[in-house]
Amino acid sequence: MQNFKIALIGNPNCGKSSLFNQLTGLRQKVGNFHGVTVDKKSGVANLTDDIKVNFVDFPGTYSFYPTSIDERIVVGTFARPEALADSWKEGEQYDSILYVADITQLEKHLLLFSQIRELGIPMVLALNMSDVAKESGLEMDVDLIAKKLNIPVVQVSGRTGEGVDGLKKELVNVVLGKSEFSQNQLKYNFSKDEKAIAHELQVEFGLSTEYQAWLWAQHYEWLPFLTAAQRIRIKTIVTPEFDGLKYQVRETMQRFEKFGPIVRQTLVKTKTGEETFSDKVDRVVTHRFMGPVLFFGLMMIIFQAIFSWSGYPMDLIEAGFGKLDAGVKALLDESMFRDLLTDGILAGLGGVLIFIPQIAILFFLISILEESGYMARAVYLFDNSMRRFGLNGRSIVALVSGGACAIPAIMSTRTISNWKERLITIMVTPLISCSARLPVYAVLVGFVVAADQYFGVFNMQGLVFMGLYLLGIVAALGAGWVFNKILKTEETSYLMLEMPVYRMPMIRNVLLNVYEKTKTFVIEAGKVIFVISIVLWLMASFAPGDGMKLAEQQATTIALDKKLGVAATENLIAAKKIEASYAGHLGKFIEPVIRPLGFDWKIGIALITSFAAREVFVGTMATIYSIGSDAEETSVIDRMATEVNPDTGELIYNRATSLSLLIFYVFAMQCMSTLAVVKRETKSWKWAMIQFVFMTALAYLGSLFTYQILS
Amino acid sequence: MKLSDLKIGQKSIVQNFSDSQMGGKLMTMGMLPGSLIELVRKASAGKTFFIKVNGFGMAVRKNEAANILLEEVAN
Repeated sequence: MQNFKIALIGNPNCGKSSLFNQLTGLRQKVGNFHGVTVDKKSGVANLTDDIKVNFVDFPGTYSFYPTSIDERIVVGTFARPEALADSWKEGEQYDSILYVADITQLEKHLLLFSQIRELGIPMVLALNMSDVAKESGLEMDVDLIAKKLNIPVVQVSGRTGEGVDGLKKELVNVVLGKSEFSQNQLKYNFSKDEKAIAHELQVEFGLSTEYQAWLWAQHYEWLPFLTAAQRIRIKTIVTPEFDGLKYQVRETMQRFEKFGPIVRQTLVKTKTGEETFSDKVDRVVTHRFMGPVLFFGLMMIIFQAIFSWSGYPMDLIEAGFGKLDAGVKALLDESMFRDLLTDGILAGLGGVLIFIPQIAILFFLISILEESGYMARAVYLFDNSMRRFGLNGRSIVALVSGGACAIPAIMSTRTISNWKERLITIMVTPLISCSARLPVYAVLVGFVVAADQYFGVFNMQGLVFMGLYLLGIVAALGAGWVFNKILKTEETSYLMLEMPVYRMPMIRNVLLNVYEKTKTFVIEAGKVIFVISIVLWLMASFAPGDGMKLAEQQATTIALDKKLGVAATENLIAAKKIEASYAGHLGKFIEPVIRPLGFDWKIGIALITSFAAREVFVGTMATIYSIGSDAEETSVIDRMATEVNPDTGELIYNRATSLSLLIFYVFAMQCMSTLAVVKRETKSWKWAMIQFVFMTALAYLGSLFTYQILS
Repeated sequence: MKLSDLKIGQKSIVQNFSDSQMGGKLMTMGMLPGSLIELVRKASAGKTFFIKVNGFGMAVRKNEAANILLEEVAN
């Protein structure tokens, strides 16, 4: 078995991901590019019985002159001297490049191609979207363009799979060194002064091509692999008169002049002039009044769909965990270990897994919007409004994705080139209600309004949900407005965004995306929850000294005095026990601070554990209450509904407390993973800490206000 | 004239860019001197433009459009 590594490169919207999925199927994983946190998708495919290829999908890139962090990856990888090494090794070396270009916009997609071609790595050019090309009357002379470019060219469709077998054959030839590569016809003709600089750098650093040296001259200030000493040396060679921008324009113009004629010779358009499907759709979707109305309509449908579609699978999961719990109890004798397993681990995990349906549906719908090309229209429609709040039109992608999870949303801000706009987007995105808040909302909303209450045709619970989401959005925009007033920048902000033609989303791409995102969520959240469930169970099961024994005696005495029944006595014992436990002590310790918000010490425990991750709230509640009531195993919601204040006999989860708690969860920064990502993306703890403090303050004040008004 | 002076539905040819940094970025996206440009529609009270460059859709801000110099078109 021989192993090879191939990089998949192409412009944004060239259909690279579809082709990647065609080639690798389910054998994919997500990692990071060396030294940066940009997602690196890789997947393995067996091209023949003894040739295994690891494909790495690079972010969509327009040229070797990047304008965002995502775009820097390609040049940052291929400007490395070792990227051009001969042998396959683990790391950032590639045996070959599969360059993907959209036939329907071939000319502009060849710019990056012609730049990569300069590096001398064996390449295959895949002309993607052959199906769309046929429909729109484009005919490609594949043999002729292959001859003109001196490179293997294959026509494929990532959507239908057409031509993929031929592409695999061509890739095998290339990695085995059987393809013929003659001269590069698109080689850039350096001007005299450019050539002098490139040549000197090439000799100085022993680089394999002049063009690679030229990339060092253009980008040495940020290229991640250069040492400080190398940068200083390059600076003396490049000289202060170096006008990178002027050279870039010259290079781009010359390249288009070279491959433009080739495209016109090899690509024939047989149909012209009619209004396309995309144009017709855009007349409505990007209409200045209809567009925004449609956008908000879509958002409403999405959130309605989440709740109406998720009911049945959630019931199934709940029932499944019920059976599992009963099974474990039947199988094992009563012991500390059995309690840990059922009341600690199973209860905690069940509380999270039950929300997979909602999370998956949300990711599913957002993926469809992205795949279809709609998201770019949303950016166009809201760019100007976003700017008032210190954001960029592209922030809408982060804000909408933030409805699923702040982590991928914050990562998606890398396409925003302006640092201030990007920072503000990062700071406010976690205020958008993410799917981790859903479990909390779902549990608590029932205590605010009953499930069968209607306001006209609208379900009241649905309206409260909408209200909570809106509150998050308003808070995000408001915070953005404030940050915009505080932060200053000289950097220019850009929109300049491609509006890709609408495409029917490919279900395979969407499902892979949902699978990947949900898996990450479950694993990341699951890890935290697993540990916290155990810690919590320990804290709730043990007390300082012989506190547990004393609590039981005390409860028994009271029960005897009041002549309580068996069930009531057991509940009282359980309640007194948890009060005496370590968890109870901790909750009570913070109770004075949260009392004005309407929270008791049990909620206090949940708040503390939620600072690791919000969804832990439900697990914590499950743990606290299932320990508090050994007798019956009702679901968390039923248990909370019957929870009364042992002193006053009033329901704990009344409207004021429940709403106050909801408000707290809308605003509070309760996700360690998000803070870690913010730290990584902003390269300092400073912004992560500022975010933590302002969101927590907002949460406290919001809850205080709510509770004091309602109670 | 500038792209920001174009009326909805009008077409013209790109001549040059008055801001070379923006020009550099637009060129990598396929908008070069000689490209055919059409202003399709505007959003946000005329602050955002939906344009077509050689038939391909693109969104630009009004202030960005002001840096794209076009051949004169008769009104």
